[in-house]
Amino acid sequence: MFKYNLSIKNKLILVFAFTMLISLLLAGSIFFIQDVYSTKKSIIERISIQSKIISSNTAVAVYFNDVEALKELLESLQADKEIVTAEIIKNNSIIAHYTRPSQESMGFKWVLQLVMEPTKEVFQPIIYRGQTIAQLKTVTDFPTLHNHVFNHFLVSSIVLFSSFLIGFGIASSLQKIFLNPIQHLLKATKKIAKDKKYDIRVTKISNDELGVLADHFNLMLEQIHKRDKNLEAEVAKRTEDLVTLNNTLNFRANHDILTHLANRELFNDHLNQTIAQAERSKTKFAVIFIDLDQFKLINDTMGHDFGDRILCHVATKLSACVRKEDTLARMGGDEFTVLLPIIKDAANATSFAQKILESFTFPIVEQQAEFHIKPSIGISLYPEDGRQADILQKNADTAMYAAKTEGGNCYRFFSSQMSEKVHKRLTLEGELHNAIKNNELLLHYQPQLLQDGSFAAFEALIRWHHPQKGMIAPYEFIPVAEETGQINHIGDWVIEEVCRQLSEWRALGYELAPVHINISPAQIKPGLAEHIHQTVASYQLSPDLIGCEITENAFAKNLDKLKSFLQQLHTHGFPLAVDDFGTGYSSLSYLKAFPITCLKIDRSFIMDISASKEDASLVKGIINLAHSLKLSVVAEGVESHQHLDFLTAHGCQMIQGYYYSRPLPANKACHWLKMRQQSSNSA
Amino acid sequence: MPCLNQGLTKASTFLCAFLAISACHAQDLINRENQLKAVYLMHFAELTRWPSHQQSNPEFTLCLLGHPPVLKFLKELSQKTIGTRRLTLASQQSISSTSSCQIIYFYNNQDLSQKFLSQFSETLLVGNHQEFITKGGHISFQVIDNKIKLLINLPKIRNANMDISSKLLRIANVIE
Repeated sequence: MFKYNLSIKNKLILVFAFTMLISLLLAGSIFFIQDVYSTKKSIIERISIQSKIISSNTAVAVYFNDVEALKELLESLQADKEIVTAEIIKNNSIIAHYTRPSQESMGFKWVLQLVMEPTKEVFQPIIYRGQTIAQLKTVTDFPTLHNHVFNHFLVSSIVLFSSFLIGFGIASSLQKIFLNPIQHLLKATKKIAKDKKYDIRVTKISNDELGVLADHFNLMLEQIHKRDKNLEAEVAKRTEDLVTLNNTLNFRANHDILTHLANRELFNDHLNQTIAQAERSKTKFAVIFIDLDQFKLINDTMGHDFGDRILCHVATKLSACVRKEDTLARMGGDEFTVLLPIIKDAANATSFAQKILESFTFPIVEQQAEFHIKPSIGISLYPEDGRQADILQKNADTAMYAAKTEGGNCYRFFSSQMSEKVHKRLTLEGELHNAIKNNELLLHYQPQLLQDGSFAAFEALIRWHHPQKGMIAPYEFIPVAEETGQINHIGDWVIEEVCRQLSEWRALGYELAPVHINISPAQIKPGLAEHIHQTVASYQLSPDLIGCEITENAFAKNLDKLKSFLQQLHTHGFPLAVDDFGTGYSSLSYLKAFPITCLKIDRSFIMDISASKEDASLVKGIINLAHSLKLSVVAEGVESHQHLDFLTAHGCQMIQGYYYSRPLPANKACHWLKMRQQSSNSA
Repeated sequence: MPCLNQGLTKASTFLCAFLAISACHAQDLINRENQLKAVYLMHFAELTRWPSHQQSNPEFTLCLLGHPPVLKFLKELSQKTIGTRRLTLASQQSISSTSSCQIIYFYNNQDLSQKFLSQFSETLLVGNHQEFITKGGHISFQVIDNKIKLLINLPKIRNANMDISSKLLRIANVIE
């Protein structure tokens, strides 16, 4: 851990100082050992020389056994502190002996004992007249060497310590040469890390590796600086994009994408704010609900894209009617709401509604065609019609429904009675949904007979047997089904049920007669003709057994789509009839252009045929027209003999009405058919 | 004749001068010899280990038999001490009066009778001739090639309860 915490400066100093210390220690040790051995050698040589001198001087004394002289001579060794003892041995006996007086040692004996023997004995023969007469034994314990070693150690220590200090000082000075560039780098790095500024550059101090490092460091900074700038630009761009996206998302969160009007959320927000404001200031405001009449028909016939473009025109019209402080919102589909936050009384709302209606008097032009779009407007007022946002909206909606049920293209203020009607309708809508699931729908079959009274075909008429309310007529629930789209399920069910019934009758052995079904314009969509064909084929029935009746109103819109549908049915072999003929579209050219085989005169003409000459003329005209176009004619609603006579007299081929039979449940229709067959057989 | 006389005078003068110079040189040699002998005698006192009972005597007596020329030089050295003992010079005319001497220097090679030798058994006897040794003397000065040499009769000395330091023996001819 220590080595990691040290700065490079201190590491360099320590490395330098310790390198020098170790070098000095090594060199000092070598010199020390060499000095010890050379000193020891010189001591031993000196003692040997001294021994020779002593032996020479003592030769005579030994020879003459002059012990006193010997002692005296040996005493002279006191001058040499190296010799600890000296003995003259003659004939294995010590005849003279010298012992050095005790002296203080420097205490380095133990150090020397590690590298050499503690004492050294030197033997020198004493020769007199050519003969060795004795031995001089001198023993040294190297006291001088001890002192020498001590002094050497002392001096070495001082030199070593001094050298270490000098080395430390030199290292401290020299490290600047290495560290200054590094310090510059470090300083620059710290500054960059602190300020996040990559335009700082390191000063190049030397041309060595650190200089190269500084160059590369600067190059790296340059690249980072460039990348940083690019990144900043990128971040700025992305931030701008994000702001734009955020604004877009915010706009989308609060606005309708198609019309760019406020959406439901923003409208509710404004409505709540207005309620709060109105509560404080005790003022009034109005919530206006606008729904376009029959707009679904445009969508269904012209397509949704076209419908969207019409909606944009509508939004433009409405925008032109609102004030700056008003909130205009599209709630979805063809529903728009307007919040009039400041009104004095209902008259202000009335003025606004009339202004809207007036703006819609001018047709909307799209794709060089004019479309007369009409709005139904419902108005609820604060605080009379509610103090809460949802209630005010619901009531405006209710008022709008009231306007719509009264024919549309008008405005209505909310009243409590309206609420009940709307409630009924909404209940019916929910129950109809359940009716399909619960098999509460059923088909009644009304026969069509030829002029001679022979059976020609059935028309399948839908009924709803409500578990509580009893039988509900189609005019009550079919419009609801068409508005809510449930007509598709009902239509599919009808064709399936008719096929199933025919299949059943065939199984029972009855001679099958054609059954006509009614197809709502709201049902027509790509693939329907194919679906009908496949359903009929799945029961192995011939397509000419299923007659398809289309109301005349269907020919008013999206003729291409209708033509394509009818053409497909015709191709598959289904007979085609125009229902309620005379009540709708005035142009008769479609009778030639479309593969129609039959016209059905609406019951409204037949009912007054006896009393109204106009109706009689009209019926005659229709019959003649059918004849001229080689179309068969069916008269609906024939209830009396007069009706029958008139129609027969004018060449109407087929009769349908209560005169012969009301619509019958399947079993009764079967029975009726059976009876007819039996009677015809008996006749 | 006068010339002869003059010549004789000159010759006699030169001769007298030569004789005078030669006489002076001979006298120097003799003085040098005696001076050395005086020093040796002093060293004999120092380099001889005397019987222990003599150590307690505060005086060390060097006796000179007769009036030897060394006396003059010994007197110059008389202020010295032998160890702790004070040196006393005694010039005696006869042997009989040398009973307290530690060293007796026989200048004229007096005879050494057995009686004398036994009387002075612990006295160092020093003489001037080799015969002195043969007669029982201990140390004899010998002049060989104008150098004074010592001849020491070590057994005799040791028999007299004395011993001679090897320092002296080293430079002497020793009879063992």
